[in-house]
Amino acid sequence: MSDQPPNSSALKLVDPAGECSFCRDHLGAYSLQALDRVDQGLVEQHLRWCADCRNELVRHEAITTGLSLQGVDVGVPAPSTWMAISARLTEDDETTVPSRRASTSAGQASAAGRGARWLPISVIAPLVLAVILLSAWSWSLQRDLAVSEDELSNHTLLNSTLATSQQVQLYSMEQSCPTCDGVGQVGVSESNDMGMVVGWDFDPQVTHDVWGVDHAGERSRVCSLIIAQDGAVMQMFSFPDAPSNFTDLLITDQSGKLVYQSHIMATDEVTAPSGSPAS
Amino acid sequence: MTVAPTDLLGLDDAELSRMVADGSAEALEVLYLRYGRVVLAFSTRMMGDRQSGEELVQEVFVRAWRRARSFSSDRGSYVTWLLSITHNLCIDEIRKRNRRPQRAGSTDPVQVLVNVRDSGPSVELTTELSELRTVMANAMKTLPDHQRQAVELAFYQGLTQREVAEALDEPLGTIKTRIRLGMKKLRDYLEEHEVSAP
Repeated sequence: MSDQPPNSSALKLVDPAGECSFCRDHLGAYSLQALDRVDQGLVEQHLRWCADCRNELVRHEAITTGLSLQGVDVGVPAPSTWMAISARLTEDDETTVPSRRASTSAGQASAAGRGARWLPISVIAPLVLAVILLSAWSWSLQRDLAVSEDELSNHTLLNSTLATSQQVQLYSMEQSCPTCDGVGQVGVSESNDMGMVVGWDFDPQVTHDVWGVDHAGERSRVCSLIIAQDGAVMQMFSFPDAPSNFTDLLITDQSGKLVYQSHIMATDEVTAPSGSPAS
Repeated sequence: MTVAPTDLLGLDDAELSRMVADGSAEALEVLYLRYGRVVLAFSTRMMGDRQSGEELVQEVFVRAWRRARSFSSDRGSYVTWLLSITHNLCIDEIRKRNRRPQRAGSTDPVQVLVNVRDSGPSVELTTELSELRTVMANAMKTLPDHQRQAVELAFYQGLTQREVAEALDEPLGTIKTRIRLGMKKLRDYLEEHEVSAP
């Protein structure tokens, strides 16, 4: 039925069969994108580990493609449409697609480099400061963590890999953001009420908000991600309250769609033996 | 060396998509020539007017450019991927504008793919898409009106089940049931007629 049993309270359902039943009841609406945010998050969480339900979802693809083909023929797009697209591709090539830049000619790469030298000091200075601060914090995190790779592998969550000491939890986004393919890591430090997101390949045109969910299930918006033009995110944030007062950390896109969810483990959960439920 | 789009017309979608991932705008232009019309038809239906549809076409192909590396021909066809991007972007836009375009089904759908062949997709794919479009239209006709309406409001107008319930002044549970049963019937009908997403 499933790849592995869930190890998170995020789905709020204990019985795996019950999870599949819940998921399948909602797959039709999910494929139409008609679920509310909570149900959508629950289904997505389940789909991450249940291959059977993922296969079931594939059976709905023909419906959505078929519905997409029921459009009204209005002819070909206006010539100006491709011109506008073409202009934006050129802009992208110069500013936001570094992976492509590597495959272009040396001359083009050099031209992109020339553009970079003209970044104003008002842009460069905060970035340099941010890098210094993050480097210092990262060094501090590493010192706090002090865990071996074996220890890391013993703390695997449903959707996140956890590296932890009593002070710091790091969660890696094993699946990319369904809206824009961004991936990265989320860090929570209970010792100073701070959190961190380091990511890449995020779409700078899509707003992403970070939320905390408290024990009563209430969401509090923590911050919006500041995404660089090349899709990178390096951001620290303060929790509005102690991290221990939050059960989950969410990231949503601009439409409110849940793109990432991590269960924030309490210290006693962190030290539980591998494989035991986090809830 | 620059390659003209006309030099690429003979390549299939998988080859073109790989070239797009490597930074070939010419390859994307060929894919645009093949599928721009289908994408425009869908986005116009979703957004309710042609101008918005054209704007969405821009966004779709720009996103296809930026996310080119995330497309895998093993997981489905390029046009299916493009239409999925189109749906996502339309829903984002509709919800952002918080407005409702024309009611789904208020205009009779007509043949969308009639001229696609002229722009160069394979005969097989054109046939597959045409068959899926036709079978899907027939499948929708088999649904009871209230189920079809719920599915169309959700898919074409980007409404959540809760919003559909509010729009129709029905209990949320009723709408959930209608969508669940409607989608199951559609899936069974398509499988019975042995059509799948290309």
